[in-house]
Amino acid sequence: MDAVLDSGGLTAWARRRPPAYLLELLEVVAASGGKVVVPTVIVVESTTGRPGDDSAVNHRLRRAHHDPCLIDRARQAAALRFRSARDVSAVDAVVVATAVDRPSSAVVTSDPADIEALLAAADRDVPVIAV
Amino acid sequence: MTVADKLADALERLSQGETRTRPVSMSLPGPLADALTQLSEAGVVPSTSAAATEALTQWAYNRLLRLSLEEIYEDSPDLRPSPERVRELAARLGVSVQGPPGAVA
Repeated sequence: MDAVLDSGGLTAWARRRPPAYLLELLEVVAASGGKVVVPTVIVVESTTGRPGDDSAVNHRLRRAHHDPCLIDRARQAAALRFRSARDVSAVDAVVVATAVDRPSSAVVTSDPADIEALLAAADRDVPVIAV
Repeated sequence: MTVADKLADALERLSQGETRTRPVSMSLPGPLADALTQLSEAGVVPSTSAAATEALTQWAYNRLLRLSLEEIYEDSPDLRPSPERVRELAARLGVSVQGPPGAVA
């Protein structure tokens, strides 16, 4: 199982003391042979370009797989966003498209309602961990 | 530079498209080597090199996560979850886990 992080998930992981439930999930991910996945668009939301301010997030980013959003993924995200019939962000749609493209994944998010709406649009049962 | 940093550097170069290859001699268990050869000949995998690259990349990202968790526990040992909590969550998520949580192979 892979853990797909949105900006809230990445920020929580970057804390000096990440939340216990996030560490429990990451232990499950590690023990199952999985990895942490951060869609590259999340970097836009999570960093400022100021190395000092970004150092904790950048440190964790270096421990993750950076998943690029190429045209097929972008189209998939667009379709999910349209089908969800909610005012969800394009970034959240990319997070869900990234998660449903994997055989097994969980989404770590600070916006569980929108993520769950997008997963419903994808008709996929993916665990959502709220931070 | 830590082992995690060296691994992160290597994976970063890979993700940025470094395609230069280098021959590496390795020994695999016979049945696995046979299976890889057969899969390659049947066209299921493009080549034994491609299959090995994919498997090693997955393994490296998984090791990087393990090392990242250990970095956190080194600073805050009280944050390491109990094996019971991890097993419970794995069962709830329907995930099969290998070995004791926290083990570094």
